[in-house]
This record gives sequence, C-alpha cells and structure tokens, in this order.
Amino acid sequence: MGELNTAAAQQDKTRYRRLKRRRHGTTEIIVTVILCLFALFTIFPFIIPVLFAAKTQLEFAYHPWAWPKSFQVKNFIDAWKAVRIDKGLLNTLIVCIGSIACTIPPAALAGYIFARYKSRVTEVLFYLILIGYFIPVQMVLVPLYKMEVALKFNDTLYGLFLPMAAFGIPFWTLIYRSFFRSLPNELAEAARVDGAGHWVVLFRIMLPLAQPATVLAMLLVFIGAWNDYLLSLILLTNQNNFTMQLRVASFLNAYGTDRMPRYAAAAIISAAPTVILYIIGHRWIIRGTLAGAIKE
Amino acid sequence: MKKFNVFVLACLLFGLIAAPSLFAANVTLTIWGRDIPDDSADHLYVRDLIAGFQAKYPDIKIDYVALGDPGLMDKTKITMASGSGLPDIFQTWGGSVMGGYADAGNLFDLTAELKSVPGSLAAQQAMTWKGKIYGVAPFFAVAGIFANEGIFKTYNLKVPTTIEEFDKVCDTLLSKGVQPFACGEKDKWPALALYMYLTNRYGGDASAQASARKLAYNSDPFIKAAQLYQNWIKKGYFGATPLGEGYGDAQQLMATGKAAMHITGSWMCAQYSNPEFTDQTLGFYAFPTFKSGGVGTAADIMGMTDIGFAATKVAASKKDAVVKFMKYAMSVEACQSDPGRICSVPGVKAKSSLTAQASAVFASAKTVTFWWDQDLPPSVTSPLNDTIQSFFLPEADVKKALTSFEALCIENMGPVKK
Repeated sequence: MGELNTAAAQQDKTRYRRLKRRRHGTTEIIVTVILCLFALFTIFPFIIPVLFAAKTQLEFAYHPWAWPKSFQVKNFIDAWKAVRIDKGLLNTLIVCIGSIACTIPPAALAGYIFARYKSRVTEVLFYLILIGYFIPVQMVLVPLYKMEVALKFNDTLYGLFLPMAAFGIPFWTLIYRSFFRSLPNELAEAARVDGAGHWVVLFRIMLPLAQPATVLAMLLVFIGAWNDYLLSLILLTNQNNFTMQLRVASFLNAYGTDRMPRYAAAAIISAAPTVILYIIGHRWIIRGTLAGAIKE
Repeated sequence: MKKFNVFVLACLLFGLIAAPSLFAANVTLTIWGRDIPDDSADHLYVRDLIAGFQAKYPDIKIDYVALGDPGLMDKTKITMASGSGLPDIFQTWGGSVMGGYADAGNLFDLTAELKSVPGSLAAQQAMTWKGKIYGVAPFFAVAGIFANEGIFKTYNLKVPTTIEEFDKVCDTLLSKGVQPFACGEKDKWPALALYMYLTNRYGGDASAQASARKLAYNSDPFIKAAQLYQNWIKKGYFGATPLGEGYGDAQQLMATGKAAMHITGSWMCAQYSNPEFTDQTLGFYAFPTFKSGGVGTAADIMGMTDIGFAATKVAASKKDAVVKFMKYAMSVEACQSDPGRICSVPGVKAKSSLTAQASAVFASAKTVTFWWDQDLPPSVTSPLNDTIQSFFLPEADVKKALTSFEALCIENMGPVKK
C-alpha cells in the first residue's frame, strides 16, 4: 500500500514537472513571440529605407511597400556622388575628436571637484555651470555667430567643436559628479594615507574607476558631434569645411522626399557610421548609463 | 653672356612664381544657394550658371555653397540677424522676407544697375522692396491646375473652366474611385495656392487690400473662399486623410494617376514631364473663375519668384562682379539649360509642353499676387498657414479661425483703416 502510495506520489511529481515544463515552455514561447514583435518594430525603421533605396522612382511610386524587382545601386552611387561623404568624413572626425578632447577632460575635472570638495563656493559654481545645460542652442545662435565672426573663428573646424564642447560640458560635469560621488571615499583616503596627492588620487584611482562614465561620454559626445546639423550649418560656410551631416542634409534638402529612393540611399549612407559605432560600443553605453544611474 | 643667362633664369623663375597669381581670379563671389549644382534635371540651371559664368569671367571666382531648403533659409536668417559673416549673393524668393533683410540694412541697392535688365515685370517686382531693386529673378513660378489628361479623357470629363464645374467633375471622379485633388496639406503651405485663388475669384484684389489694411482678413471674400474650400474637403475631394498626406505624397498620387488634379506651382513642370518620375500625361491650366457672381478674372495669377538672387551689403566692394553675375543669371545663355521652370527672361524657349502651357498662363497674367506666406510680414505667415490648415478639420469654424488671424494681423500690421 505504502509502495503504491509512493509510486503514485512519484507519478504526480513527474506529471507536475511535465506540466510545469510545458507551462514554462508555453510562457517562453509567448514571451519570445512578444519580444520578436518588439524587435521587428525596432528593426522595421532600418529595413524601410533599404526597401525604398533599392527601387526606381516609379517603382516606389506605385509599390512603395513591395519587395524591389531589382536592386538599384544607382541610387547609392548618385547619393554618394552628390554628397561626397568622403570629403566630409575627415572634417567630421576632426570635429568629433576635438569635441571629445574639449568636453571630457574639463567635465571630468569639474565633476571630481564638485563631488569631492563640497563647500558653498563649489555648490554655487556647480549650479552656475548647470545653468548652461538649460540653455538651448537655438537661443544663442545669433550672438554665438556674431562672436565667432568677431574672433574669426567662423568657418573653421575648431570654431565648431569649441561651442559644441561649451554646450556639452555642463551635462557631462553633472554625470561625472554623480559618478564620482558614487565611488567609495575610502579608496581616496587610503591612497592619501599612502602619500598620494590630489592629482595621483584623481588620475591613478578615481579616473580609472570612472572608466564606464568616460567611455559613455566619449561615445555620446562623438555621436552628438557626428549628428550635429544646426551648429554646423550656421558656423560653417566653406564647402570644403562641411561635415558629413551637413553634406547629407544639403543633399536631402535639395532633393526632398519626392525622390524617396535617392533620399533613402543618402539616409542609409549617413546613418551607417553611427549605427556601426553603436553596435561596437553598445555594451559600454549600457554599462555607463546604468552605472551612472544606479549608483547615484 | 653669364649675366644674360642669370637674367633669363630669373625671369623664368619670376614667371613660374608670379604666373598663377597673375592669372588667378582676383575677385571671389560667395553665393549661398538652394540647389546642389549636379546633373539632376531641376539643378541644371544652377550647375550651368556657375560653370558658364566661370568660363565667361575667369577673373571672378564663384564660391557657391549649396545649402538646400530649409538650410538656406535658416542660415540666412541667423547671419542676417547678426549682420556679419554674410555672403555676397544669396538665393531668395524676394518679397517681405527679403524686404526684412533690406530694412535691416543688410542688402545692397542695385536699382541703377538692374533696372534695365530685360525680364518680366512681375519677376522684377518680386526682387524690389520699397522702390529699390536688390537682385534678379530669372525664373518665376505661377500656380495653376496640373490635370491628368488620361483620367479626364477616360471618364469623358473636361478640366473645369468655371468654379461651379468643379463639383460635378469632382463628384464623377470620386464615383470612379479617383481622388479629385492632391494637396499635401500635412506640410501646411501646399493648401495656400487654392485658397489664394478662391479669395481672388470671390473678392478680386481682396488680399492686396487686406495687406494694405483696407480690408480685414475675416471679411466676406476670405470667409466665402474658406467655406467653399472646407465644403470641398468635407465632400472628400482631397481624399479621406488630407492632413496625413505631405507634399511628396501628393506628387506620388499625381505620378501614379491616383489623383486627377493638383493645384500647385509651376515648379512641378520638370518632374511632371519627366518619364522617370511619372508615366501619366499631365497638362497645366489656369485656375478658372466663377460663371457668375465673382470678381477676380482668369488673368489674376498667383505666383512668385522660383529662383532669385539678391546682393548683400558685403557685395558693395565687389559691385562690378556682382552686377556681372546678376546680368549673366538673367541671360538666355544661362537660362536655356533649365528644363522645367518658367523663365522670366525673354527669348528662352520652354523645353516641355507642360512648361509651355505654364508659360502661357504666366504670359496671360494681368496681375500677379505673390504668395501670402512670402509677402506678408514674417510674424503672420506661419499663423496664416496654420489657419488655412484648420479648414481641413470638418468641425472647424472657418469664420472663427479667420477672426483670430485678423486679430493677429491687427497686432502685427495695424488695424483696418477706414
């Protein structure tokens, strides 16, 4: 009797496990399907331009959502020729690197000071710097342009990345401040006991620990500078100095959506570098964002 | 002999060093334009203008910067507001926008130099502000009806010659599953041309009177035109979702024969006659008048500059070069490469039948009313387009909308003088 009971209990257990597995399996399938749908929604905007760019104008006009009959490489060639992205690439890289070089070091230093040396003066200074974060670029375009002309900075690449850095420093100071605040103070104190000075503590201990924030800052400043249109449009005039984004925008503005296949080809070409950059650096971006957010 | 050799060598060396600078351009004109000077059909004029001018005047270098639209407008606005870093010449449609720059003292008066340049009077007027000519307009655009000839033929219809005929034609088209009008109202400005025509046909020079503050924008002609417009929208003549269609979508509807008419500017002639853009046969017609009860005539045309150039105050030091450029821009030689626009220069033949039809409409014009959103003070132009867009909401009270717009005009342009 007892054996029978044990056997029945075991059977029940097995049935329960199977049921659980089946239920678990069903939930997994539902979750996977939902996630796939979400993924499709995310990927769709990336697929659409490819679908459009592969068609002739007439084919697009009649069947915008259909699969292309043949792949029109011509759209990409025309877009590339008109935009001359190769010419803009070097300018954009200079602007991006300049922007990173002028944004991150001052923001990191300021963030460190505001995090570690609290006094009324530093607090007031911090909030003064923070005001800069709330000033939209559009609001200061006219005086900025006037100042650049007076300093003969207009139509130069440094004349572009310096204001970009000025607009970026307040935000990154805020991020670095919260990041440094989240690091244990004991590390710095221990280093000081060992005879380390302010610079050694900052460069040998704090900054290496703030690596996720620095990588995040580098990537986002780079992407921001890469995608900038308004400042580049206003501050650059000579076509030789045009950044990639400005070239692409001029092309898109000159053609408009009435020539969607060529427009889509140019959009793909312009977006490709940032998408690739994001794919390479997305781990750091996520890690950096979470680190800054959670530890605060 | 040795001295002679040294002399010859020195001369050669001098020649090598000095020659490039002797033959190099001694004046550089910076021009901010809209179009990229490439092989695209509607960019051919700009491409050939620059190339042709450089060939004709090798001593003048052209530094042409293509900014597209709205890039050109945004950059010009900022630089004009700062009054520094201006180009020598910039592309403009003229009107009050250009007038604002002139009032700020940023433009260069070329009245004496350009007064006698041959061209249409309307084009010259568009580049004139307060009696001073600031530039040239080699191409002019007029609004009219682009009609799909194939669709009209298939359903045995005729393009309306009176406004009263529109209802019958549009109802027939709707019953056959064809959208009567393509518009692109999502972009706001495309609805303006039809409203301007309807207002003119109801009230003649009502818009001129309103901008001179002799008539209110909520007076009879404006309200009647808005009511008729909204009535057509309610009947579905502009499709089921007119506010969801942009100007590009409207073009696609025409290109594929899904819509029968498009009331827009003649700048579309190049595309609508391009077999790569559309396989439909389109015609261009003047906007009709009322059979009875109307004031405006078929010779009252709505339009404005298509391509225009104005000189800034920076150009004062390069006056000769700037005048040469302006005159060359208005030459037959420079204008003949454009395949689709209406040329305001006499002697330039239209390259397509569509352009020829649009040119004929322009030639028949007795009065030309400039686009309100380019000719009225900039402070009221955006609200004007918003007001017209509100007509597309079936529940909207057009009288109320126009009264609000009039209140704004009183604030910005002053009250109506009686």
